[in-house]
Amino acid sequence: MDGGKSAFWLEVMEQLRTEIDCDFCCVGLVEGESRSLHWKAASGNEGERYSSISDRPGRGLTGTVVKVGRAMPVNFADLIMSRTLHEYPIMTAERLRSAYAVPLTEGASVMGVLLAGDRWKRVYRPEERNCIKLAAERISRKFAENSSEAASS
Amino acid sequence: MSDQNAKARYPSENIASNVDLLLEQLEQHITDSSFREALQRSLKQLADVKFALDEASIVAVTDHKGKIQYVNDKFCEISSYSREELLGKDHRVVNSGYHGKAFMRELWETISSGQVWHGEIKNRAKDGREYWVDTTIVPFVDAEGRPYQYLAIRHEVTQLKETEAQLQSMMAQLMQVQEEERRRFSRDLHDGIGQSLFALKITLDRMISEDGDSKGLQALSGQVQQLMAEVRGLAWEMRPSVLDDLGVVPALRTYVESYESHYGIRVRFVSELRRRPNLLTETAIYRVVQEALTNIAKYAGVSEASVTLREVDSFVKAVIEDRGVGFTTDQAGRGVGLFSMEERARAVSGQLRIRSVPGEGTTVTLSVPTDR
Ligand SMILES: Nc1ncnc2c1ncn2[C@@H]1O[C@H](COP(=O)(O)OP(=O)(O)O)[C@@H](O)[C@H]1O
Ligand SMILES: [Mg+2]
Repeated sequence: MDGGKSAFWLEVMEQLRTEIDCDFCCVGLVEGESRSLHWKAASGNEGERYSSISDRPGRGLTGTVVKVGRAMPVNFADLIMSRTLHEYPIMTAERLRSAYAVPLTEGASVMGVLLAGDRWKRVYRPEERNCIKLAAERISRKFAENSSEAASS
Repeated sequence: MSDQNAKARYPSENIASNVDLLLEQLEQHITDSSFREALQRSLKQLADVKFALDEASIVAVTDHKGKIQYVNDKFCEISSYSREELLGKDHRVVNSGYHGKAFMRELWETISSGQVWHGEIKNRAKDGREYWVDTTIVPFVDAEGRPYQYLAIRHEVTQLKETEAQLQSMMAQLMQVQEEERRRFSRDLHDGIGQSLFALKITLDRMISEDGDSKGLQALSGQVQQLMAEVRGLAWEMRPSVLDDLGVVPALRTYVESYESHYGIRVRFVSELRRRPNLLTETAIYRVVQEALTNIAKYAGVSEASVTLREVDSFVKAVIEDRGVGFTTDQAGRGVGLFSMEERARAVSGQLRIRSVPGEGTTVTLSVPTDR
């Protein structure tokens, strides 16, 4: 990951955090042949653990948001109920109680996830969800720009 | 009237045994009628309570040395001894030899210091039948606080105990069946679907190399590859074949590696085992470590943990430790994880100890005897 890209992500994430007033935000990319999610940049993080966290193949956000390509709320209490908390290590590492995860796309394929989260039980209203989606679109557009740059150079 | 005389005239060894005698003579000894009536009522109540106790429970009274002074019918019935065979003996008559010296010493230390003892005891009847009794022993103390008599109240709980034992053996069997199924599923996934996907991938790759720039085929090939990774992951999660093939140490090494990159928690893994324990023990160790580490990731709030395997005397010991938030026993109530770790330990005649201090961390220790 080059510095320019992560600086841009940080800018988008910080803007989003002021916009919807959320505690935490992070960007993850799918990697490897199992195309599982690895977190690359964060804002409002308590520690650096996020950067060494990755999903098990086909599990957690990799098996939901990435696979289906649709946004999804994540809720600590629900994860406990469904016994799937261990599939969402970012929730425990950053002590999140609620989160909303949106796919980052390039064309038809999902490249990663933008996650906004809070350390208290929060329900994201439609207009807040929309803000998160718009932020994800900004990041997604950059993918397209970068690859067309790469293609033209 | 001297002390000796009083004891002879009104024997008081057996609880409430002289109530009738006393009641008869109250009139001539006590003139204050309201006081006398109160005393009468209390004495009557004492006799009634004694009657109720005999109806409900197995009762025995011993002197301060443990010599039996009184047994009720229920005691005779359950032990199949006659009253004459029991009086004057101590409780060794019905000792089953099940409980160790330490157990008996703890019991005696408790009651001889004037405290109530409560617990479950396995006894043996005259006909050889073994029975379990839930037991409460109450010391009666003199003015100096020294016990002069012990009252033992018991209830038979043999059936409960047997059911408990059956449940435990059932649990152990269920867990083994579960492991066998997991082993089979894991192998089927890996060798069946996994192999088919591999074949599919090879076909796709051949088609791609024959037909130059087929974007669609390439995407498909990527998806098949992803599916293969998922199937492999699933098979491994279910039960890693390396556990059967190479043993618990290589299996845990792989588990720890995957754990670290999944949760971002560093694990110090040290094994001092020089030989493989038997497979059942290996499975128990693997599952207990897995559950304890998962709990650490979910609750402890740490970025480091440690796992140590060691052979001490004739025990294999696995210690899983964190310096995290810790918990108290009433917090731990709802989960099945701690419970299942204990059952896993028991199923291999082992023991699980959990030590947790809020704010300091948690240590889970599994010890399993090696020569079983
Ligand atoms: N290492 C640990 N650190 C802090 N709390 C723990 C730890 N292990 C267990 N606990 C506490 O004990 C409870 C019971 O654990 P467990 O029986 O495994 O159930 P579960 O994992 O399904 O919640 C947990 O809910 C948690 O509160
Ligand atoms: Mg658990």
